[in-house]
Amino acid sequence: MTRTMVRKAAPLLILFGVACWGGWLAAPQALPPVAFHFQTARALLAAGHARAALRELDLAARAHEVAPATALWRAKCYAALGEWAPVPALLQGYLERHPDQEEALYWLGAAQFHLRQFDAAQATLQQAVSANPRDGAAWRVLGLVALEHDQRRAAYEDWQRAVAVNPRDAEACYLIGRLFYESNYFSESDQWMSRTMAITPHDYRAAYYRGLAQEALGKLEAALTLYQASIRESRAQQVAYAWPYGAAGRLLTKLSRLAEAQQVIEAGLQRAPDARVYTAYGELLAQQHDWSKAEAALRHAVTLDPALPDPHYPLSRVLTALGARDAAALEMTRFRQLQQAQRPRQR
Amino acid sequence: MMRLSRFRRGLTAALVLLLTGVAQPPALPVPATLNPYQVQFVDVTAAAGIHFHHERAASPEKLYPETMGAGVGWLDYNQDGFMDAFFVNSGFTPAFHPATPPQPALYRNNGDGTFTDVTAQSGIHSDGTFFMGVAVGDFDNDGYPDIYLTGYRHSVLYHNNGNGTFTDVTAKAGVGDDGAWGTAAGWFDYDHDGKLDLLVTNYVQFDVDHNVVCGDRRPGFQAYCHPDNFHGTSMRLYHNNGDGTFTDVTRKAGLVNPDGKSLGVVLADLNNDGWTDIFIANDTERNFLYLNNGNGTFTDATYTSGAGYSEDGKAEAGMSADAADLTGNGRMDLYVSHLDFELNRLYHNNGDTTFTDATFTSGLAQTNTLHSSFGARFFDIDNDGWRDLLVTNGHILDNIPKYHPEVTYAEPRTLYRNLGEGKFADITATQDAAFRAPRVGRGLAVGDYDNDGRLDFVVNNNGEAGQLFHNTTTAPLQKQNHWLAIHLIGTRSNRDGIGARLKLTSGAWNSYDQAKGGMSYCSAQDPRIYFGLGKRTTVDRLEILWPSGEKQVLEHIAPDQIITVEEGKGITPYRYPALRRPVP
Repeated sequence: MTRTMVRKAAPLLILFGVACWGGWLAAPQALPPVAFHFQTARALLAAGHARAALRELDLAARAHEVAPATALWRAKCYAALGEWAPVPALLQGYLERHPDQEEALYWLGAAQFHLRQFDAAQATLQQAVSANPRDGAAWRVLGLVALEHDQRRAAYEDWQRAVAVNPRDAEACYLIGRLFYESNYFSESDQWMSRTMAITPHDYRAAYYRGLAQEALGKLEAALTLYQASIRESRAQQVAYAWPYGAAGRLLTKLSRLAEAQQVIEAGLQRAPDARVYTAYGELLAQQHDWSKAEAALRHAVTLDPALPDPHYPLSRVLTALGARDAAALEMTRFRQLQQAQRPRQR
Repeated sequence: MMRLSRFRRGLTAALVLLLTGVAQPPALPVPATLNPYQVQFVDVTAAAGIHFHHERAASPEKLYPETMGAGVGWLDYNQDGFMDAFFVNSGFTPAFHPATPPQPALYRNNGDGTFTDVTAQSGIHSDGTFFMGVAVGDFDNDGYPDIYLTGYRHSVLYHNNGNGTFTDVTAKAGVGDDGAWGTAAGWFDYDHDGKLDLLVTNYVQFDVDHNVVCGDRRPGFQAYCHPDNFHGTSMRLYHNNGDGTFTDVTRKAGLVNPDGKSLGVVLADLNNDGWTDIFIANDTERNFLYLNNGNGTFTDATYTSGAGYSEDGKAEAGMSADAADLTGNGRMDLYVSHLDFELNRLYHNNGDTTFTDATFTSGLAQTNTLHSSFGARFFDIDNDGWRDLLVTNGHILDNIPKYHPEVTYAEPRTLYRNLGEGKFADITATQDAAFRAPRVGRGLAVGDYDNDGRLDFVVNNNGEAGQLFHNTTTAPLQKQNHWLAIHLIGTRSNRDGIGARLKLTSGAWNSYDQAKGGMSYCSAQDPRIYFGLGKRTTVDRLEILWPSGEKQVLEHIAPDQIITVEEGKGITPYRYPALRRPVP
C-alpha cells in the first residue's frame, strides 16, 4: 500500500529530491541529501497520505536520518489525520527549542483548540499571530476559539483579519457567513456565502447556508435551488452531507409540495441518513397524517442525535395527534430544554 | 448592566462598513385580477378633520415604552349610529416631561365624513400616564360603550356617562393593573353571567426609573432593549361583579403566567364549545392558548395546540393576534404578527384544539420578511365572501438601518387578498402611494365609519400622525359585491353580544364569524360583524348562538344593510344612518 502511495506521490518526491540536491529547501537548516525517508514523508503528507507519512517518519528515525523538524512534521501528520492528542506533546518540546516557530505555534494552537483547551489555544495562537500577523490560518482558528468563548465580536474580527490577509480565504468567508446566519443577520450571511462560493464554487456547505439565508429572507425558490446545488456538489465530492436534504425536505413539506419533498428526503435517507433528514421525514409523514410512521422517524432522529432539538417539537405534535398527550408534553419539555442552548435572538 | 448580546454590538461596525447600499427589491407588477373589485384605501385623514399626532416621548435614553405605542379604536360613544375614533397617546417619562402631558384623542364622527375632536369636553384627560392600548366594552350594560386604556404602570377605566362625557372609575372598579406595563386588553364574558369581564395582558418588567442601556456604545447606536433583558408579567383577569367593581380572579381562573410578554390578544371561541377562549401573542415567548373550561377556569393548551410556536418550534416576537374563519369551515384560524426576519404566522384550526402552521401554504410567507408587523386584522375588503388581511408595519428600533441597512424604521403596510380557501396574495402594490408610504405603524382598527358596508380602517403610527383610510372602489356598481352587517344587542347575554357565534347561509354557502374581544395590536375594533356576500343577493338564514346559550334564527334578510339584532327579539327597527354627504 505504501508503495502505491509512493508511486502516486512520485512527482512530488522527484521534486523534493531535486530541491534537496540543489539546496533549495535549506530552511530551517540545510538538509543533507541522505534524509530519504524524511523527504518521502513530506511528499506523502503533501499528497494527502498522512498515515504513510508517519510510517516514513518512523523509518527516518530508525535510520537516524538528520531531520531537525521531525516533531513538527509528525505533528502535522497527526493533525491531518484528525488525531490531535499526541500533537501538543510533540510540539511543546519542539517549541522549547524554537520558541518563535510560527508554524509550530499554529499547529499547537490548532491542536489545543481541537482538544477543547480553549484558553491554552487562545494564548498559543496569539503568540502565532504576534510572530506572524499575516498568518491567516492562525487568525481563523483564533476566531473559532473566540467563538467557543462566546466572544462573537472577537471571532468576527479574527476572521476579518484572515480575510484581510488573504481576500480569497474561502474558509474565513464561510465562517463569517455562518456567524451572520446564526445571529439572524440573513442578508449579510447571504453575501458572505455568496463570496465564499465565488472563491470556491463547489463549496456545498456555503451553498447550504446561503440557501438557509435565502429561505429566511423569504426567497423560497432560490433557497430550494441552493439546497439542490449543495446536494449536487456534495454528491459529486462523495461526501455524505445530510443537511441540505433535511432543509430542502422541510421547506418542500411546508409548501405542501409533498411529492418533491418525499423524493429529496428519500435521497437523503439513502445517502446521508442523519437526524436532520429523519426529522424532515417525520414532518413529511406527519403532514400526510401517517402518525405512527412519523413517530418512528422522529424517534429515530432523536436516537441519532439526542442533543438536536429539532425532532422533539414535531414529535410532540405527532404524539398529540396520536392522543398521547403526556408523552407529547414530555417531548415539548425536552424540546424547550434543548432549545435553551440555541443561538441568541437578535432584534 | 444588562445589554444586548455582545455579538450584535460587535458586528455593528462591520455591518455599516461592509453592507451598506443593499437595495430594496423593486416592486413586482401585480396582476389586476388580484384586486378584481378595484378596492382602493384612500387616506382621508386631513379631509376628515383628524389631526391626531402620536407623541412618542423620544429621548436619548431610549426608554422602552417610547417605541411601543400605541393603539387606536372605534366606538360609537354617543350612539348616533356612526363609529367614532379614539387614538391612544403616550405620557410622561423621566426623560420626557413637558408642561402638558400628551393627550389621547376622541374624535366624534359628524356623520358627513368629517370628525370633530371632542376630547376636551368628553372628560377624558391624561395626567401623564404613558398609555399603550384601548379596549372598548359596555361593562355596565347601559348601552353606552366604555373605554379601558392600558398603560405603563397604570391603566384607566372610563365609564361612558351617556351624555358625551366619561368618568374615570378605575379606583372604584379596581382594574388599574397597577405596577404592570399593560398592553393589549379585551372584554369578554368568560363565565356567561351576562356581564363583560376584562382581560388585561402585560408586557415585560421594564423599570423606566432604572433604564437598561442596550445596543452599541458608539454614538447613535444605543438601541431599545430586547425583551430577553427583562422578566415577563402575568396577564390579569378582572371579573365583573355587576356593581361597578371588579375582582382580580387571575389565579382562581388558572391564568397566572409570569412568562407573559404580551402585546396582542384575541378572545374567541376557538374550539366551538360555546365558551370564549384566550389567545395571546407574546414577544419572544411562546404564544398562550388558554381554553375556557366553562366553569370559571382555563386550561393552558398551548403546548399541544401547535399555536404556541412556529412550525419549526420557535418562539417568535409576537406583536398582535387575530382570529377569523378563513376557509369557510366554521372554525377560527389564528394569526400572529412578528418582527422582521420572522414570518407572520397563520395557524389553521384543525377543529380538535390543534392548529397547523399554514404560513407557507397560505402564501403569507413569501413577502413581508423585512418588515416588523404590529396591528393586523382579517376583514373582507371587497365583500367577496373571503376575509382578507391588512398588516401595519414599523420597526422597534428607530436606528435599525445602522444595524440592518436593508431594514427601515418606518415601513409600508401590507395588504393581502384572500383568493379563496385561505390562499393569500400580496396586493399592496395595487394601492396608492399614500397607502404604501412608510410609517411606524402600530395600532390598527377596522370599522365602517360611513356605514356603506365597505370596511375602512384607522391606524396609529408611533411618533407620527394617525391616519384614516376610506375603503373605495372604482368598480362599476353592478360589479360590486353585497354584504350584511349585524349589530348585536344582548339582553340575557352581555349587551355587546361578545362571545356570540354567527352562521350566515345563502343557498348552499355558509359563512361564520364571532363577536370577539381584543384583536390587532392594543386596539379596539368596530363591534359590528360584517359578512361579505359576493354576488349573493339574499341571506336565507342567520343563526346567532348567544353566550347565554340562546339560539336565534333569522331568515330572508335583505343584503346591503346593517341590521340590529336584539337577543330574544329579532331585528329591531333601528336603522343605521347613511352619511349626509359622500366621503371625500
